[in-house]
Amino acid sequence: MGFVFSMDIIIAVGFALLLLIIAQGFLSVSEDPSSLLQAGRMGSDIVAALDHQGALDTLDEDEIADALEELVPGNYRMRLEIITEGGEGLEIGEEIPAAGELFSGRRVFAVTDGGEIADYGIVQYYIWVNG
Amino acid sequence: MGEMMAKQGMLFTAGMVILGTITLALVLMVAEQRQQAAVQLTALFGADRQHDLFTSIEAGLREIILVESKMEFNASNATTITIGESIPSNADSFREAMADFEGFVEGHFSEAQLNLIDVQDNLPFFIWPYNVSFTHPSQYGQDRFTITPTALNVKSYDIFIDSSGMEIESLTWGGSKNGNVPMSVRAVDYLGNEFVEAHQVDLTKNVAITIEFADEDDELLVQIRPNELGTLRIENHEEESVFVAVTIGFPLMGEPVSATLPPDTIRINYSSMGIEHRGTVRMV
Repeated sequence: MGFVFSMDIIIAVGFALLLLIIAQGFLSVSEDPSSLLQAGRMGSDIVAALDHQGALDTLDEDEIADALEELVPGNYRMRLEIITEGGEGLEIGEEIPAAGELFSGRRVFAVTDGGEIADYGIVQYYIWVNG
Repeated sequence: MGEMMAKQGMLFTAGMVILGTITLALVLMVAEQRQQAAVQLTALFGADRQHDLFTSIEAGLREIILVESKMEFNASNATTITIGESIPSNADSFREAMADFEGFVEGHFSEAQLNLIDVQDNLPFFIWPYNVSFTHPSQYGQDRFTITPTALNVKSYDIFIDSSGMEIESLTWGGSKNGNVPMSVRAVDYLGNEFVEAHQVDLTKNVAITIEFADEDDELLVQIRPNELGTLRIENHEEESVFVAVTIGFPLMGEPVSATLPPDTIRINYSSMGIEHRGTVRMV
């Protein structure tokens, strides 16, 4: 009878543990997804600001990198990959981390040079939380 | 005693099964909610991408219009807007830039569609919330533009004319000088000559103002045409272009005045996510 009682307890506790493990699996969250959404919106705003400031018009890696550094908050990292219809290709900012969550988006822009539209481009941006 | 223990054991087991079932039900509920949240988040990411693309296309079109047409827009307060441009103008580079941008965007983003036929032909704008149209009736780049109010809701017109290549000889005001809408014309040239005239006009009657240029055969006309719904028409018959800016005053309506391209100029369609956004380009 004692054996049956012990078995009963072992089975019940095992069952409860199993459920807790399943629950843990469902509930575990590595990072709040809304913060990623927030980061994405910030990335988009930063690229829009670079366009508005005229930094993208320069198609100069150093100038764009300087402007980017001023706009990206300290706890975030960003990378820009720019291609243009005229064949320009630029890579600016940090290397994309091998692991971890990041947000990526694309924006188009027109390049103004000498008072006329000289080219068109696409900025692919990546933004992630530092560390 | 043995029976009692057996009963206790059974009760314990039954209790644990009920507890386990409740826990499992809760876990499944939370899991379903998490799944729903993930779907909503995916939709939000999709909406953000669509917004990204839309706003960047809008900014690109705005930049092309401002750079290539050299038109000027200003709405410094809630009830006036100024639109200025040189007439006639060379529109070839404008049309080429628009067509190139359209090809570039649609070539790289299958979800984006630009409707620029009317924009390339007549470059029309709508002034909100007053529903006034500004357009180039004989094709953009030609000698004229028109402003057509609805319900004669214009409160004032101030027209500035700057001739940087021709000497202005005279400004002659013909037609209505009695009404309740203030209208002024100020014309200057590169020599420093200045002609100013201002009257209260009746928008239901003809107004015909003529600017004559020295040693030139043709003139610049500013007309109000009652038979064309009170359209203000400005046309420069000379080949040499002249900058003309019109400031339109409106009654206060509670929302700031703005100028946009026609509706549905930009269309973004993420059919896989069921997201579609149609919109236009706001110039000011």
